Amino acid sequence: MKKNLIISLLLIAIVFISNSVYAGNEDGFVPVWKVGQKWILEAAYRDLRVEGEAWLPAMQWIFHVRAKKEFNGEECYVLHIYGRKVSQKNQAILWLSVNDLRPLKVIDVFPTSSGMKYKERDINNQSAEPLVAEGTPIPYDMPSFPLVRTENRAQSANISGDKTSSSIAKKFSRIRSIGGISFKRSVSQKSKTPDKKLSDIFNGYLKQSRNNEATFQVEINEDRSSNKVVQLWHEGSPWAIRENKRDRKVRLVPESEYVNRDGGNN
Amino acid sequence: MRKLSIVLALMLAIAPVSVFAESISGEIKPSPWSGDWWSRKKGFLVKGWKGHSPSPFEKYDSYVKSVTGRNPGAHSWESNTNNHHYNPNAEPWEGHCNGWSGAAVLTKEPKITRNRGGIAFETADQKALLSEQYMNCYCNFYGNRYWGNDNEDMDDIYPDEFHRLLIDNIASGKTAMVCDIEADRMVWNYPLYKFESSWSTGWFDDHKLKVKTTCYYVNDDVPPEYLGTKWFAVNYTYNLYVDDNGNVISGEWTGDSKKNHPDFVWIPTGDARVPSNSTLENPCLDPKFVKDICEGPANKQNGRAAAPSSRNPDDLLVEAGLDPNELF
Repeated sequence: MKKNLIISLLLIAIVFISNSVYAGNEDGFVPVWKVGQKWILEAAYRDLRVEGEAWLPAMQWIFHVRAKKEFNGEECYVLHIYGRKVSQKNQAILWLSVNDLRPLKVIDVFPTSSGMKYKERDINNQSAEPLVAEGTPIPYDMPSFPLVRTENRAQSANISGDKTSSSIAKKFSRIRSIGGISFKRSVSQKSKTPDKKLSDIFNGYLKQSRNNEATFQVEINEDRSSNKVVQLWHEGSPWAIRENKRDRKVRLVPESEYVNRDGGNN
Repeated sequence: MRKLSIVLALMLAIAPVSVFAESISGEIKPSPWSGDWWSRKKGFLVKGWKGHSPSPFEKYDSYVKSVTGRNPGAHSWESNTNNHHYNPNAEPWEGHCNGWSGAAVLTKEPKITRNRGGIAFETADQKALLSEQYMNCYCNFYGNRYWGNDNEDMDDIYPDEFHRLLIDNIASGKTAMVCDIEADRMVWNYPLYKFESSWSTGWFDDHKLKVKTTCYYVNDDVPPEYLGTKWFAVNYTYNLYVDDNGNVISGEWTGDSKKNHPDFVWIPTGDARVPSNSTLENPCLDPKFVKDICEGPANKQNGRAAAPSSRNPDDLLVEAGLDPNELF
C-alpha cells in the first residue's frame, strides 16, 4: 500500500515537472524582426495547366520590414514584399502583430491591362489562423504562431530527424466575407519535428545556428481546396527556410547568395 | 376557394423559412479582347493569311534584324514542325488559346497599326506576337485539371469554389479569370469577364441555395483583324450549402452543369521567361521587342527596344493609388 502511494506520488511529481517544462516553453517561437531588415525568398512555379512536371523560371521576392506602426491598437510590423526584378509587378503589404505575427491587414497589389490596382484582403484579425497566400504569386504563407517545441531534444537544430516525435495540431474556421456572402473553410495546422527526409535541408543553415535553436515542420491544410502548405521554420531565420505547395517550391535565399541586397531594379 | 386558402395558409405556416431570392453580378472593364487562337494546323503565325502577308513572325524578324543587325529566328523556330507550333497534321483544336487568354487578360488591346522601322504591324500582327509571348505565364491555379483517369473527381472545380472566385475576382472588379470550359479531358481556355448570379432557398431547406449563374466568356472565334470583345454566354446551375450561420460550406453542380462546368480556373499574373528545354513558347521572341512593337506611338522610325525600366517598387504602389508615405 505504502509502495503504491510512493509510486503514485512519484508519477504525479513527474507529470507536474514535465508540465512545468512544457509551460516554460509554451510561449514558443515567434520570429522577431527589426525595421529595415530584408530577406529574399526564391519561388519556382509549377505550371499546372500542362501535363507533367512543367516548372516556370524561379522569381525572387524581397521581404522588407519597412516600419513598426500601430494598427487597431496593436503594434505591427509593416512588411513590404516586392519582386527583385522590376518586371515582377505583384506586391503585398502585410500588417503583422509584433506579438505573434497575426495578420491584421493585408493588401495585394497587382497588374491589370489598365495599370496597377490593389485590393485589401478580408482578414479576421481576431483569429490567429494561418495566412495562406491566395490569389497572388507572392509566397507569404505563414502559420499561426507561436510554434511550440513538441519535444525539446528532438527538435534541437542538430538532430538527424530519425527520432519519433509528437505533433501539435490546431484547427481553425476561416470565414471570409466577400461581396456580402461568407464562405467558411476548415483550416488545420500541424507542427512537428521535421521528417527525416527533410532534415538534411537544415544542413546549409546549421553553420550559423546554435544548438538550442528549434526547427519545425508545419503543415497547413484547407478543406475543399488543394492548398496544402508544408513549411520548415527555424528559430534563427526570419522566415520559413523551405516551403512546398502543389504549384510552388520556395526557399529562403541564404545571405551568402545575395548579389544585390537592395534588389528591386536588377 | 376556401379549401385553397386553407392549403395556402398551411403551406405558409409550415414553411421554415420563406423563399427569398438574392443576386450578384460583376464585370471587368475594360474587358479582355477577342483575338484569333492561332491554330497550329493553319499556321497563320508563319504563313500569314489571305490578304495578310508577310506573316506576323516574318515582320518581327525583319524589324529585330533592322535594329540589332541579326535575325532572331522567330519565324524559323515557329515553322519547325518539331517544335509543335506549326504542324499541318495537328489536331484541328490545337492552337495558342492559352497564350491568347493570358495576353487578353493582362495586356491592352492593340487598336492601331504601329509602324516600326518602316514595317507596318497591324493589330492582328500585334495580337499574334502577344499571344505567343504569353504562352508561358505565371498564374494562380484553382481546381485540378481532369486527365480522364478513374481516380479523378469530375465535379472539381467545385461550385462553391467557383462561386467564390467569381465574387472575389469579378464582382470586386479585381481581374478577369480564364476557364477551361470543358469538364472533360479537352482544354478550351476562355477569359471569363462578366457574370450574373441569382439564388433562392428551398421551401423546406434553408441550408440549400439553388443558384443560377450566367458567365460571359470572351470568344476567340473571330478573324485575326477583329477588334473589341465578342462574347458567348454559358448558364450554370448548382446548389450551395450553408451552415446555421449562413456561411457557404460546400456545393454541388446540378442539371446539365453536372457534366458541363469549368474544369479548372487560372488567373494570369505575369509573363514568364521560356524555361530551358521547353517548346511551349517561341524562345526567339524577345518580350522587350514585343513591347516596343505593341505599345507606344503609331510611328517610330529608328527602332530601339525600350531600355529596362528602373522604377522603384514604391512607384508601382503610387500607380495603384497607394501612398507609400502613409503606408510606411
